[in-house]
Amino acid sequence: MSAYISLPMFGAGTGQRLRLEAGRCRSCAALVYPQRPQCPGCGDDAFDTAPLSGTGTLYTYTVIAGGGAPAEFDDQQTMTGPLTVGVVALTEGPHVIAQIADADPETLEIGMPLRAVVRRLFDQEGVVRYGTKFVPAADA
Amino acid sequence: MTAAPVGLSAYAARLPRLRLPAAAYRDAWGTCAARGLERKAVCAYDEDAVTLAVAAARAALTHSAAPAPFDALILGATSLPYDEKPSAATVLSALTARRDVRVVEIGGSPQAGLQALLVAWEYCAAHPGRSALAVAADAPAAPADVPHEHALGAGAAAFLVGPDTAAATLCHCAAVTLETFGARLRRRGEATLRDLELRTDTVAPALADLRAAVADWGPPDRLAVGGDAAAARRAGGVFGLSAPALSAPWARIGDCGAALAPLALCDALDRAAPGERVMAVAFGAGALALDLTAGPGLASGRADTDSVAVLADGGEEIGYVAYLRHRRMLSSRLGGTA
Amino acid sequence: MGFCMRRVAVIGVGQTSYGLSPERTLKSLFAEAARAAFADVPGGLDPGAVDEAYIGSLSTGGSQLGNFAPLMLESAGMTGVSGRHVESACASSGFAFRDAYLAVASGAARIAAAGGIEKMSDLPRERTRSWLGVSGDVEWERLAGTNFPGIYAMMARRHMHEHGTTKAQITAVGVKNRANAVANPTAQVRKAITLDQALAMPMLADPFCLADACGITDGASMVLLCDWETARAFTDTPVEVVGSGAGTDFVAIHDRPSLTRLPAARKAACQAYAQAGLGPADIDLAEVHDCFTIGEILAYADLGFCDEAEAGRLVADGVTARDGPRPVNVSGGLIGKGHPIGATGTGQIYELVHQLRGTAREPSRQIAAPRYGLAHNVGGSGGSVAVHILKAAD
Repeated sequence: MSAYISLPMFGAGTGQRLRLEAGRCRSCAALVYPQRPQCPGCGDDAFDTAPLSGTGTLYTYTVIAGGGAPAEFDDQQTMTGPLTVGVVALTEGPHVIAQIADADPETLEIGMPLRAVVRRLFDQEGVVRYGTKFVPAADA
Repeated sequence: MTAAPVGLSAYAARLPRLRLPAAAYRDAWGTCAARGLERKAVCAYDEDAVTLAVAAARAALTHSAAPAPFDALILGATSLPYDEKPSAATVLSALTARRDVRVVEIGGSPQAGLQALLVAWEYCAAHPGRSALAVAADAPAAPADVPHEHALGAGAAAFLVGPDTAAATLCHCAAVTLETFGARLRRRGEATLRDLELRTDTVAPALADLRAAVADWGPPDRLAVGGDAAAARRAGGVFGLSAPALSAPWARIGDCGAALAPLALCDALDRAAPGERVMAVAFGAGALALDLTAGPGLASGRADTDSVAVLADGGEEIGYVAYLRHRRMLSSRLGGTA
Repeated sequence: MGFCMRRVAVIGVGQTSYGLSPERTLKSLFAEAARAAFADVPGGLDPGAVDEAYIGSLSTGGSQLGNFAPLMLESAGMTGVSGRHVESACASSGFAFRDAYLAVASGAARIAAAGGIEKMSDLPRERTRSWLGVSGDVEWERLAGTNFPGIYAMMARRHMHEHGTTKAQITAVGVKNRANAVANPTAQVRKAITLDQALAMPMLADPFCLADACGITDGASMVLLCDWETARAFTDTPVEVVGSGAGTDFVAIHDRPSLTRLPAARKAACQAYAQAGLGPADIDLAEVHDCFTIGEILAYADLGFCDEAEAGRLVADGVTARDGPRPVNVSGGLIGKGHPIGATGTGQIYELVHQLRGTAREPSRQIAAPRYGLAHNVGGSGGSVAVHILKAAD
């Protein structure tokens, strides 16, 4: 039994999850990512789509030890060990939580440059769930 | 084909980060059944043909101002997660919010990647002025205890095809078709390849037919071969080219399925001087040959760090058990390597 | 709250022991806590006299989704009483307590019951971990790959980065609380450890090791509130609820401007202090939400006991020790006493009431003549917080 959001909700999030589309508030120009129905700054509900660059830095992180991962990531963790998760400070301002991939946890430093990549997150209801992870920006 | 030339304005190769050396098979099984393999590029747990396709496509589009300067996306792969539910739509959704893009998904054999490039060419020729993105991405799988698993690797290549021929002009294509039996087959619903290890030579007849079909093209300056070490040698022999002119990255990246011939093509373009003739060959129930002329803008806008050779030499080596874990071959709860 | 509110007192408190009781039923656990609460009222109280009941639980035992409150009320002799399920993750019964307080303070109820229950040790591992991971933003935190310890761990790392707080300072909270729990007969974990032992325990979510975290706990608690005049009819020494506050915040931590404070806790605390006419210096003991050690360190600053930058030092300096000037989590806190998620809030009230009455079961853990006690109950990573201040009888 896993945490669950419905497939229609999941599909509605594709632009944000794969293309990092933020919402630019039409009233106060605030950049909102992940998107929400109301601007947290001015309360207005009209936005333009503003894709983010996918670059950012590491704001904070943790390494989740074996056995602790959410059920959806249980097999990933059983097979590949500790799971690194962080808050990424995107270049344009918003923050987002994501796994930090392709990086030895010992090498992580708050402030290090990262870039977004599409990776396979988990399978549920027979559908593969792809999402964004971040890798060190120095990588090719 | 119409008179207006169609070619490549950009191309990009992408390999997963992990590498498994052939020595790992010798340690685990006493031998590496993939003769001539040095090491191969392999997917991490969170990678598959789709994530590789997205990575290659985004890399090819790096220098484009618009996020989606193409009207068609052609995806060639044999190891996508679904028999039905087009992964090409997933790849497209990672690149653009546009819904007015045609997607075509080609599978069925290691020719699928080069076939995707061919279809992109024909689309652009039929619609002058339009562009198409051809992506080949693959991570074929087989059970751990069969010899043909040893060679299987992963990678992706993307080509932006259209009226801009800065990187290369597409000149000729030829295809020969010959049904083959027993080699490289996978029934519907199966995630892993079978191979009956017959001694039938499927490469020689295809090369002979191909030789005849391309007789009036003139000799190529470079040959990009989507095949193993033996196939590369024989193709070189048939077309009169020796090692320096052969792009056959199999020994360093493994059998990347539908992406192998396109990656070989990327390697050839990495090395080609403007004006050189490059021929790319893929095998599978026959063979497909594509003939290109390297363009004037080949070197500009492409970092050496992204060349197939540098990508192949890079990466992080892992051991055999780590490989099995990453490739989900030890996952009883998730149905194996699909 | 600016309008005229009646004075409210707590006249009965009860709880089960906290621990692992996989074979107990949800109904029997709640019945035990309720029976204890009604029996705790001097002279006893007829359950049918309760006007409003608020029962907190996150997982409702993993099965009962609808009409959870009526089902629990049946086991407490309260069938027929107006009752409802309250959910605010780990602050469920803290909010249940606030709702009960507001019902009595407003005059709508003469007697109100607030309680909570959580039962998780009987579920398969996958289900338990599901319930433990869904109090954040499921779509953007959980399904990105982080678990609940990971969320607090990321906050801890930020505290270390901004204020130089050390791992040892953070883990010292867990050592203190486990030591406090040894003398608490209802506590789940009654084995003290040294700081060295704690730091050597297996990693959970860096920088947390197992010693930084509460475990899985089954338990139930319930408290009874009534207006001041009714309370005086039962006892000469009622404990009064002098301050109540609550707030919410962005659920996903990536939407918060700072990870070294909980705005919801600050808002709730300010509201409770203002209502009571008190400040942090007036608080004699506090039960705060240490689901993870950093939670208590954040509480020190959020409750105004010190600045953010100093909070890491308070345990080592002995300020919040049981024999210190401001004892925190004398019960053992969530780490030592246990954290039956929905029951924790009213469990904190249980502890404060006994301390304020001078009736802690184990005399060695009785704080000398406390006047004001504060309960700080946090839902999830701070998405919701309830704070209450209680006063001992004069």
